[in-house]
Amino acid sequence: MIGQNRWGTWLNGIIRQIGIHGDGQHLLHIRYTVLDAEMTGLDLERDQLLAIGAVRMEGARILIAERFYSLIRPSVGRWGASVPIHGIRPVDVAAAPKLSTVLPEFLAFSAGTVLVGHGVEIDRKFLERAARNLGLRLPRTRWIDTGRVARWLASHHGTFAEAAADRGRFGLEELLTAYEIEPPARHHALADAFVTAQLWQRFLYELVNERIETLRDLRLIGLC
Amino acid sequence: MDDVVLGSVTEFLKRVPPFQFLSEERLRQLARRIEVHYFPRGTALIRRGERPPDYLWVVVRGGVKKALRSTTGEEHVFEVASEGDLVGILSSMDGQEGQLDDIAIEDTVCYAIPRDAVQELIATEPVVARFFLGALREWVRTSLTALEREQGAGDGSLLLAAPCRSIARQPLLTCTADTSVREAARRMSTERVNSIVVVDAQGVGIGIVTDWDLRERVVALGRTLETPVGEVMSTPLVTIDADQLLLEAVRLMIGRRINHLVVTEEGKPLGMLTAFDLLVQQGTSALFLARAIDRETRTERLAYVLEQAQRQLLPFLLARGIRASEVAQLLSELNDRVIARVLFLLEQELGPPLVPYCWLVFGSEGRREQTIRTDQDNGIIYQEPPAGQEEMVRSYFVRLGQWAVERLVALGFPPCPGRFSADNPEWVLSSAEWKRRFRSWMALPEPQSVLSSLIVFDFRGVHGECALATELRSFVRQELAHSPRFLFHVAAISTAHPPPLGFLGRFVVERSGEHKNQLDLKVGGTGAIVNLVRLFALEHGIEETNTLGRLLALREARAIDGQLADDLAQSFEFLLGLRVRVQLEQLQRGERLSNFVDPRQLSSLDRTFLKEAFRVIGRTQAVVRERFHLEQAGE
Repeated sequence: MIGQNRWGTWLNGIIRQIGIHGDGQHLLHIRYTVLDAEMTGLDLERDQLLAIGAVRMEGARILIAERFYSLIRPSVGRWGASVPIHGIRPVDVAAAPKLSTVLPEFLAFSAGTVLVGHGVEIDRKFLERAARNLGLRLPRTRWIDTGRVARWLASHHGTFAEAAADRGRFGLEELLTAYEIEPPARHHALADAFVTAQLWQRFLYELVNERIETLRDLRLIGLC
Repeated sequence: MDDVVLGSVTEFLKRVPPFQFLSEERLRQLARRIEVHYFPRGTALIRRGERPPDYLWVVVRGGVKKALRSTTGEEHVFEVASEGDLVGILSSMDGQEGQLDDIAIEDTVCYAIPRDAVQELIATEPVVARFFLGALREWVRTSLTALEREQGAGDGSLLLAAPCRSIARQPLLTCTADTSVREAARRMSTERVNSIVVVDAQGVGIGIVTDWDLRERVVALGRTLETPVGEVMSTPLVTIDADQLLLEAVRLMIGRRINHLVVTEEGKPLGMLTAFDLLVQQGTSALFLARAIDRETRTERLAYVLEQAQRQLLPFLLARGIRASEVAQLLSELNDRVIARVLFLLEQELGPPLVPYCWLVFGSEGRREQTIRTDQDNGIIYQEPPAGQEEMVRSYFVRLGQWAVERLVALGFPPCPGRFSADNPEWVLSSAEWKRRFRSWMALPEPQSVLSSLIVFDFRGVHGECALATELRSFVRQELAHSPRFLFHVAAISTAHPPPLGFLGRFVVERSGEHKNQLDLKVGGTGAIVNLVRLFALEHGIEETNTLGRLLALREARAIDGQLADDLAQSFEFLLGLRVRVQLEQLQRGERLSNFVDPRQLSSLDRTFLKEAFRVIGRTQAVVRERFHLEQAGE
């Protein structure tokens, strides 16, 4: 405990010294959109978005009322290998709206919030490319990857569940087991967004415990 | 189609009163307004006296204690809310400030229902309104008022879970044995008390003089007022240590049929505790029930008293955090009194017994571990009849046994399917016959006979000439010392059922049948501990029958490792408590009583404790197997 506090004091000292004027808002007072996307595959050039799910958080509170979910009808029928993962078959999206409809709706839903996801980098790349293709631009905002946060917390001996730390693995599955979070369903964009939100909820407290209290602090340690 | 999340919230609420009474549609509307909150261990959901919270919380995972710190800094935990329990009912109903501290005792996830949503539900759903405004509210209020009153008195004590010190009246009036009755009576009336403690030169209490003694032993006998109190006092002086719980005091008063207890500290009298003090302390009174039993002249009416004990006293005490083992001991005391009363009334009908006898109870009643009444296991031991009268004496007691068991059945003590009861002449024996019976069990042990005789080894005398039981007990102890083969079989039986915990610490549940997905809390749980501890007790000549009492004695005799004794005691306490809770719920739902529970329906806290208890059992069984060179029991 003493080590952590000293580290926190040291960090705050640095922050003060270099006088960064970033976002000083407290992590527990920020609006977040926690999202998960399903794709036909992981090839950024050829694969496409199939579903977007997202849940709103006000600080550490998850608001069930504010959630977003839509399947997306891809423009080309390239998928097969990923069906066993997300279980979305061509027939399921045959009547779904196209990306040109869904993406603007999602952008409206997430406007003005910080985006959070597990391994969110890949979702972000797909969303950015999709936006570019539609002549849109993703709003400038911060992105937080709960996978990276988990790794950071583990290396800074947070209250992180031993089980996950020992295995040194930070997949969503492992983390959910370690934190005893029960997923309502797996590989469903909304369900995954919901459990990721619950993970982020706990990380928020663990981060604050480590004196990481603002977006600025998060940026300083390279987590957003 | 987007309702995976909403669906999971709704599914959860369907199991939680009062939301389970709502229509599917209503439930979904409610689920939409819910937030998911997380409280790391040690953080407060509500703090006493602070502004009312904006939510009613349903615990989804984890646990929240509802506690209050008294002026003296002691913490009283009213209850622990776990999975499916509500936190913040009062505040969310009428916007009152928090009346208790609600603190997460482990990392806790809650569904938070905004206050306006709760109020809307109360306004539109009568069933919800009844739930909130009805019994629950009353319960909370009553317990709070009781507590407030205690706090007002400044001693911070709380019902029967408080130590005797908290309500012992001080200072204590004392005098020496040569004080005259006149002087003692004068001081009693000056101090407005109805008792005075007689002490020796060292200040150690040796007896007590109460109003009753003055009336019965002085006035009624026409003695002079100059008689020294030493000649009229009641002895011995029954004392209780100041740190013992009031519950123990109640037990002692019921057991000894007395109204006064001297509270002592390190052997020195400290204050007086009377039945009246306790009555004031506690609303649903165990003492009151006991007195009712003693006064009852008709057997049938005892049924009402027993019903009270089971329906009210048991849940009442458990809800106040009294340990299951303590509640069981108190209820045993009440059951003993009922049995004694039934026999007393029968003796009047049948005529007095020709020789002294003692009513024995076996099994859980013999161990004082019965909570919800189970089968009767009992028998009769009587003194050797004079030559020539054997048959006459025997037929008297066989009749007494049959009638008594019949009456007890009518009072709601279920009959024993295995016929281990006094209506079976096999268990109505003279002292010598009992000894032969025990000797034959121990001499030629066959696994089957060992198994069926084990519960009889937990015998305890309840009514009549208890010296007969005591003497039989020491006989058994001496015989056991020469019966290593018997102990070997007891060890085999005690390790025959491994706890239902499999690889990686997963619960092993029934795969099919009536109890699919459930596990048995008795066979691999409480029963396993009872068996193991009985084995240790028989092996080391411990005469106590109560499992926790046996552990204590074993510990003091240094017969088993202190840590092991503690672990077993804690595990036993937990398992017993869980079993009672499960069975009370079954009773409330009108189901048949069973020892089975689905571990998925337990809170995560309970699951953790349960696993730990099973691990302790597994470890102890391994130790026993090792020592008796037993094979690993098959799965």
